[in-house]
Amino acid sequence: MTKTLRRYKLHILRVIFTASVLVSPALFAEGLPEKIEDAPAQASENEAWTGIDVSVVGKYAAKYGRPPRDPYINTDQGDLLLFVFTAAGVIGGFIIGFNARKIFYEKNQ
Amino acid sequence: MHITEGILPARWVLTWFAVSMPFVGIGIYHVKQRKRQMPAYLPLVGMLGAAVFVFSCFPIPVIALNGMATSHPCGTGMSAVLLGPFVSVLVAAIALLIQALFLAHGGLTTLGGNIFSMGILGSFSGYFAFKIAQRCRLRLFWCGFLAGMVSDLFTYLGTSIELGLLVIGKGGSFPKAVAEIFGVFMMTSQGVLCVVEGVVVGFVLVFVYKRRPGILLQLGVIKDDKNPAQV
Repeated sequence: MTKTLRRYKLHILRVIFTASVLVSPALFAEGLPEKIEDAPAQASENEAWTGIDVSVVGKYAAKYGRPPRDPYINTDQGDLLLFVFTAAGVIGGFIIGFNARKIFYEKNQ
Repeated sequence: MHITEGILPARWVLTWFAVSMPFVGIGIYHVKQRKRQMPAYLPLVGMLGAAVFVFSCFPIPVIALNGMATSHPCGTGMSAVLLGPFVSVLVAAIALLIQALFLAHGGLTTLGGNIFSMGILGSFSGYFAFKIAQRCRLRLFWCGFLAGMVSDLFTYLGTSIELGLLVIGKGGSFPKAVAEIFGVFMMTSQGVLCVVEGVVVGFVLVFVYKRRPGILLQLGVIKDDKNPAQV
């Protein structure tokens, strides 16, 4: 009985974890609607849901004469960033889950 | 805290790389040493590496004094307590490199600076906060809480210092710039998020203690796995 209960709990935890990993990239993608090169002129820390990497770091860098520019490999184009974040979240989640199972749940450890 | 491509001038790019690389090298050496002593060490490094990667690009919406913003925790406090500060720097460096290469997050020229703030300052401050809390005989949860919170604060202090250094030679005041940027970080989101990160690290340590206390014992995080009072 206890074992079945524990198995159900684990199953629920796994579903919650997978859902949170899958939802997180979507949240981030919505947080970066503008191109980074335009950010310093437009963004401020008062804008809703802007990432502070853009609103604070970008703003002060521009103020001190070093505005940010596009990365060398620019994945911030259309839905590409969403795809990359989703893939990274899924792979990261898989690695965490796989190793957590190995370390904390397998009996021969 | 990710400093984007193009923000740091060449002299600071080189300086931060020169400061960070020895820590990464020592981290690699520590991993090689520890994996021989403890079979579960590599899976643990893999798990915490992935956790630091996910944590540090996981934007959490926060409503704080300066309005609504998203920001991310760092995870280096947790990895520093469990893996040691040098290995935590290595783990942070790998996470930041992948983010700079594929996620348009941070930058390749600013990688040294980002490793300094999140990897070095975050890991060592979290590690020492944990050790000091243990010496004060706080319970494991609160030791983890302080490690997570302090590492988050120091990471953002590091970023503030790196940005504040840009005013040197332009007639600005360095301490004033650092205080201003750090204050904005705290008011915008990090004042709330550092507490959240502390709670997460505290719960993770308690979970590991309850599930596999032997791991904490082998890693040297706790001295006695038969003493429930420390949880």
